[in-house]
Amino acid sequence: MSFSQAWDAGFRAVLIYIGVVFAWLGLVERYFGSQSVSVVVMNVVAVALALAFFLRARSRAVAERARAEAEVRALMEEAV
Amino acid sequence: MLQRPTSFATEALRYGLIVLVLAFIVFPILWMVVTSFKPPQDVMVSPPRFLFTPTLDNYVHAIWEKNFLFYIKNTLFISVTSTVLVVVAGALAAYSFARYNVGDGHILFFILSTKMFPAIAVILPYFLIFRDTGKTAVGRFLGVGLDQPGALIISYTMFNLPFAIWLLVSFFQDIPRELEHSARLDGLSRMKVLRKVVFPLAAPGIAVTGVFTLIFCWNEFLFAYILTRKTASTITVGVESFFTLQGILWGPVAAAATISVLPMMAFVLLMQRYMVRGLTFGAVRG
Repeated sequence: MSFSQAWDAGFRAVLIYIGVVFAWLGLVERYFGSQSVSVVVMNVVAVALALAFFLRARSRAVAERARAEAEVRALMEEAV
Repeated sequence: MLQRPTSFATEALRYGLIVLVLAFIVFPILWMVVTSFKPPQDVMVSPPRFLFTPTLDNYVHAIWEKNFLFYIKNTLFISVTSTVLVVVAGALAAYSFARYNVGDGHILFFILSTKMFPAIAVILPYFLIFRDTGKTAVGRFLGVGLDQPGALIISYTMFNLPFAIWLLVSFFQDIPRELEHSARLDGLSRMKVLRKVVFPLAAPGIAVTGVFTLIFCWNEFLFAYILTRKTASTITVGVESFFTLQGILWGPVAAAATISVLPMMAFVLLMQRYMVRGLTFGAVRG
């Protein structure tokens, strides 16, 4: 995974985190008896979703790079 | 496999510098978003608190008490209309400059000269023109008086047109003339050549111009502040309304700023692919 891909995925992961916080505070928090418990659960869910997104983006980038390298290797072998 | 090996120290220094610059850019945005979730007692404390109980009260205040959605609606209408006008007029003007060298380069330079003075230098003439135009029947009909959207649409169009023309000229210059000649030989009229050959090829460049123009219009403050009072105010003026005589409402300010940033951020992320294509358009010539 290149640096720019990591930065892009990281930035989007932060946006996902913020989106989860918005949705949680607006829709889910009212169903929790204790606000501190709600905040802890919200952070866990937000971090998990952001991390899952980042890891998915990473695995896709790695697979894409492997595919591109295989293509280039095949072309080089063909040329030789 | 395909890259030249570099030392670990060089790589670490390179990425360290990149991270430093990017953190410098992103930090204010993150600070704004974090502040928008803080309760009033945690907003201005020193040292700053990063562990707090998040709340949507600032958003409720901004949206319901200050009616911030009204400002977003105004901004959306003014920015989109202005962007469409800029892109259409800019594309036609840029094409004529790129292909016919209108004015032998002098007019193109003269157009750019309108970007060389600060906006504050022309705000008074604009104010007087729109004040007087708004009093006429035509001005009222077109909505181009003070505190009317037409005044901002015209101002934004005039101020962004030079930038759009300059940006688009280089995109049109990169399209080979031979393609247009072939289309003409095939029997297409000049307008059809423009519509079916030139504009589709310049689409990434036109998209980039549109995105930048929209961002400039969305974030503009000076014209909106001077030319509007209430009915045509935009988000930047709306954020300023949180600076009250009793003090600055930092929490709602941060919430309003976050609300105003989100549509643009979503739009730019959606257009990211086209923007990259547009910015690299013509970079590699055959």
